[in-house]
Amino acid sequence: MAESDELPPELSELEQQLRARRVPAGGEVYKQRVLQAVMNERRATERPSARLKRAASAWTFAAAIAAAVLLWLNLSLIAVSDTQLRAGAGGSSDERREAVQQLLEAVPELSIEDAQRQVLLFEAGARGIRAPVPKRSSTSL
Amino acid sequence: MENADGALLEALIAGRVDAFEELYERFAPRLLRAAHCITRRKEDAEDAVQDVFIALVRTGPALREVKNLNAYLFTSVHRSACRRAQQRSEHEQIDAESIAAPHEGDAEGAHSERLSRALQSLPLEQRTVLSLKIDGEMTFEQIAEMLNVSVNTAASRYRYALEKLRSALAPAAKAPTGGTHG
Repeated sequence: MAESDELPPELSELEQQLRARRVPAGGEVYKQRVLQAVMNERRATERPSARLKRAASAWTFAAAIAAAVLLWLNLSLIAVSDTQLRAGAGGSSDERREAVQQLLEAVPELSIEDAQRQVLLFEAGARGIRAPVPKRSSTSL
Repeated sequence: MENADGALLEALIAGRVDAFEELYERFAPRLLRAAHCITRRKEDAEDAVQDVFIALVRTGPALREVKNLNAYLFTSVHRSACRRAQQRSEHEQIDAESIAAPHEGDAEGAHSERLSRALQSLPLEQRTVLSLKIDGEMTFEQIAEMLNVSVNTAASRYRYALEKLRSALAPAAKAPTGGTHG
């Protein structure tokens, strides 16, 4: 039966009755129930995305902090590796200066920076582990 | 997408309550009739239509792809109602309270009740075509595409359904309303 085919009058009348029929469903209470369900669903679908956005912003913040720390560390290491150790500069003691001088006299091929570094290492080592003091009576030393 | 429906769909996507109210006013009575025709139960019909509204929220921006809102809604309610009807046994006894009797006591109400009972006695496939054609105002081409049958099959089911209804209502219509026999 095509759309244009006409129904007999009694069937057309039946169609009209079917169009006008009422069902026991619906009503104002039901309408409010549907709209409330829609709003609940909307809130439920919005909530995870808002949570994701918050989590994403937290991760972005953490990543920015981590990047800043890594950059600072990297720059610090570069600065340390490119900076000469100026041991003895400023508040060096006379003893240290004298020790450097003695070391330079003993090993003239050392640069002054290396001599200062060696003196500092000697001092640090002497503080860390006390060197044994040889006794006059000892024959093993 | 029709212009009027396009604006409504955009408002639905935006989640505006007034848009859902407008949708309810425009479509809910026909959707409920179609769902009730398929499920034969008030509760299932109401749940099926509510499912359609909730599905709209879940679909979200994909609603922009909808070309024909009416056909989309009735396709959706048909699926939901069929699922709910299948969940109940087709042979389950129909609850008397679920059958419409809105004007019980007057002649129009009695006829409406007979019509509802006759409608609910039809096989599911005929009720489906009838509800999509009458309540959904869909063409046989749209119904055939939705049900994955030929246009002729959809049209035949509709015709058979109407004729069965007429037969079911005929004895009551022809019965004398006045005097008694004997």
